[in-house]
Amino acid sequence: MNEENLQLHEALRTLAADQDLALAQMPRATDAIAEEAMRRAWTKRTKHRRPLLPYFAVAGLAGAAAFAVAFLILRSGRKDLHFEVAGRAGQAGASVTAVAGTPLPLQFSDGSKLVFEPGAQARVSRLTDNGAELLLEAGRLVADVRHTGEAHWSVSAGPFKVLVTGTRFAAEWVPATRKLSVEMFEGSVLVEGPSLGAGLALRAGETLEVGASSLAVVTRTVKAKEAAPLAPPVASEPRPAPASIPANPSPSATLPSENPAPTPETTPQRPLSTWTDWAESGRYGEALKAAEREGFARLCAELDAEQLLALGDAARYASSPSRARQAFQSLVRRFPRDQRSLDARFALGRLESEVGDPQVAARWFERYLTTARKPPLAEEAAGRLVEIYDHIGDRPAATRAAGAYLERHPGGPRAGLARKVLASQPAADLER
Amino acid sequence: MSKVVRLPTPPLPANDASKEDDARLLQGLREREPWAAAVIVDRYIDHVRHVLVRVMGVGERELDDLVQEVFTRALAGVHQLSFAGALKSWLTSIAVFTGRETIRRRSRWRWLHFTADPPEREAPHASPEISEAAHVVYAMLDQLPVNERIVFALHAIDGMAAHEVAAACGVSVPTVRRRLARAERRFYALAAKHEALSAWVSQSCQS
Repeated sequence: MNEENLQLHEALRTLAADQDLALAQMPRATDAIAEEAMRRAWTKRTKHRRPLLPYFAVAGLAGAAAFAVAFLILRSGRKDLHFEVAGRAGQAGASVTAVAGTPLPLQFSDGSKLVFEPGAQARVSRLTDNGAELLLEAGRLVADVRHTGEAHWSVSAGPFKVLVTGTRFAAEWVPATRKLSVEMFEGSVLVEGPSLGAGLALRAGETLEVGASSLAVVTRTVKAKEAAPLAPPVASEPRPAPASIPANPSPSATLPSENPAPTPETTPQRPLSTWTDWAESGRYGEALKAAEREGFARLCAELDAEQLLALGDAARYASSPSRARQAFQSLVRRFPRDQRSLDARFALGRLESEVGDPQVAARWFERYLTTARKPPLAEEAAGRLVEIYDHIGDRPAATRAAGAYLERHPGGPRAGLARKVLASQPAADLER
Repeated sequence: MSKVVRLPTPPLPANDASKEDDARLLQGLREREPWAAAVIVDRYIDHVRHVLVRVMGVGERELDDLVQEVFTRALAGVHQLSFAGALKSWLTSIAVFTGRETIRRRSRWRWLHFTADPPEREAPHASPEISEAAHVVYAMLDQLPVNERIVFALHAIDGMAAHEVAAACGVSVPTVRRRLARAERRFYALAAKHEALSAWVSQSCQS
């Protein structure tokens, strides 16, 4: 090796030392990496490999030809599912957040319905022609997945995955304790996860409670007609019946000692008249019409904080952003110290995002984050700020928002975006 | 009336998981215990990043994805590892394999798009003045056949011995030597044509 090449070798080692210094300064999101690796590696179904090579030559050619023909024929007539969030078209990748007050329904084109309970956060990761993949980031959802024979749905929560073919169930993920609970009303699901081996099948009447690093407990509830009258519940606290999906309440969904669900004979049908009646039944257009009849401005001046929030949500779901804005702003103005006022700030940020005014939306999300010490949707608001500033090209604000996001939520779902934003900033901007 | 069924999930280790040795760690991984996944990532993430950066010179954005891929493959294929003492070198080989796949994918991407620039190439550097030189070095490495490039990066940049490179790449030591000799010839020839690199080399050696 000549002198020049020796010098080059030395210079390359300098480069290595410099890389080591840079690596030492990089954040170590080990928990997030471990969790994702477990989800990807350990929630797959095990496939046994067999020595099929000799068959491939013959079967492969024939199969490929048959597949190509079948694919072309089938594909021409199949379309991916689509869904609506409270009457408005949603798309894959959409983030879903149900603020306090009103559950948030997602209606899918195959008749399936998901209802996110207040406070729940989720993302519709992917839509296919026979199902959808959801990421439940926090909170509880109640799912009514239509059984079509080919349905293939999944709900991921932390390192767990619930595989669904057609059933009614509720799933709840608590990120703080990293615990998943799945409550079955009808049908069956398969739950996969790090402590569940090859997967755990759950059937109607069963409830699973499992943590990312704890024992799994299945509580099985005997159906009402099979149980002795007034038998006390054991091992599981009674949970309110899934009122979010009113259709076809399952007898196995409630414990026998709970108050029996009212039958049609004992519950007189009361006509829906007030805006709250319509809103509670999920008919937001009718709710808004009723509110207009009652006097929208008067309602904004007289309703309490809880009702104002519900009124704003109803107006938003009824595709009336101006009325929704009016209700939320009334709430913020009249009850500035109320917890619901905080929810209204977030709702206003989301509303302005939806109507295409990102600057105003950003101001509301900033106010949401600065009004309280630890607002419940802090991660979502901080993440939306990164998205907004990045989208409108406000580089200093995007850098600041991304830095703040990574500082508080290094393993959050938008950490990747925040890092991209920071990486795309020129060094001069970062030093500033 | 309800019945409680406890699944046969193994209990967590009583002591601090981070102090578990590799044998217990391997056992935990085979039994798919979450603590074991957390420990392997925590214990080896620096090493995996180190190998990937040497081989590829990737930026933080792409590096995160590659590190994730390495640990995912490790967890999925842990049943293939029989000797706990080989855990680190096994992870090294997964990192090298993952890096090689990515380089090949980049090459295909470049060929398909008829462009000389891959999608993202910004290496992490503590010193901004080295950034340009690193860019040139890894651009030259891009022109080498992938197997030669990996051997050269691990030996010349990282300083691995030939037998360590052989273990990481899953080839024999003589193969490593052959590839290294070819890689050095090509790299020196490319470096000789590059004035900016020559200036940096002189500056590095003087400092």
